[in-house]
Amino acid sequence: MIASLSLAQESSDSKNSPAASSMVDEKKIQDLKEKLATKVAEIRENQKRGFFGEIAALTKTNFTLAVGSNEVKVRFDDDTKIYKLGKTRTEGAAVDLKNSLTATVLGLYDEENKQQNAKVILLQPGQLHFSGIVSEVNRTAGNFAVKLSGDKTQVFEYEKTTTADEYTEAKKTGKSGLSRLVKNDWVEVWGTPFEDDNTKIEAIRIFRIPQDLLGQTAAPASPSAATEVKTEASPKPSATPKASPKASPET
Amino acid sequence: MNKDTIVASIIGFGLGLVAAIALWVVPRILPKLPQIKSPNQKETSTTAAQNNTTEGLTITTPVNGEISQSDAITLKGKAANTKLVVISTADKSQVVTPSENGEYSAPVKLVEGNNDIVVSLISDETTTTELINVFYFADDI
Repeated sequence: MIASLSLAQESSDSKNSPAASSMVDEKKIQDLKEKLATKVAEIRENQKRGFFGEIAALTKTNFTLAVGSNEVKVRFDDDTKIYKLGKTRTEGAAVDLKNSLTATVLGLYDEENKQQNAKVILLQPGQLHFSGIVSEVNRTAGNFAVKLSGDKTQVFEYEKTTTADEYTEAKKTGKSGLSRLVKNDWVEVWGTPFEDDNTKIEAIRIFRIPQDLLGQTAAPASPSAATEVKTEASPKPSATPKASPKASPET
Repeated sequence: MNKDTIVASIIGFGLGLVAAIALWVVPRILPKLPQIKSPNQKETSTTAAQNNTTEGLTITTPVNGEISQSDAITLKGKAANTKLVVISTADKSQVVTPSENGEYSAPVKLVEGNNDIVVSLISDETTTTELINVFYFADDI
């Protein structure tokens, strides 16, 4: 019995003693940790991503991009390509960068230093997005008010260039307009603030879901069962909005 | 050797064998026992899963800030307890009905540069929205 016990113990000790296996495990864990740390550092240094926001604190090689309530430091140099986006893309230069302009910055993001090393800068206007329940429609004045989240109400000016579509009972989409807006409809509005009064928003595109369709129980369908609404090309805002495009109520 | 000695030896050998097997097997079984996760671990994984997520609404692909070299992408996500999901860009809106397990998916056409993509989950009285920025630039950067 003693012999068999000691034999079994010896065998267990030599191959799988807790101390030996824990040493091996620790070494493996340490190796894995090092590999992981190296990989994470590589990814952090070379993470391709984009940001869109408003340029501020511009210097010869840096600026701050206001992205919503956050800020991203942007570093650019002579190799950074700068373009102006309108109907077509035109080449730009560092002199075209101005404080308060909105821009897309594509490059490598250094997460540790919260800095974007810009490879491409695209100067382009932005639009604000709003959604909520229609609280008032004034057809004479050509505007409508929408109750947004947080009990905030926003008035939108309906212009000749505003495009409007709506979701129909047949689960399709059709043309809409100011005359079809009714109190308690759900709407989403893409727009830009007026230059002279940025509390007023020019509606560029509207999408309406009538109140009576909001409560209906839709039959589940395949995830790809989507009804598409393609509007005419949205007129670009005449000027870059003063407010940051990220200052959307949803963000 | 008398009969009693032989019986005692056999019993002793048997007991020794049982003890040896126990010593061999027990260390192998212990690590496989289910481990209890601490509340902190649970919280971390929940937080990680909440990327691109607002209450009941998730955008799984693409991720916020993604750069696409193609102007056509597929937006996928999950929306809980909803009848209508509206996927919207500055140029186009789509109404999607999620599948039974809440999954939704829709093709999205991108324009050059920034694309704000807003997903709105509309229930009877509330609207939950999630916004991501996806960038289309055909050239290598």
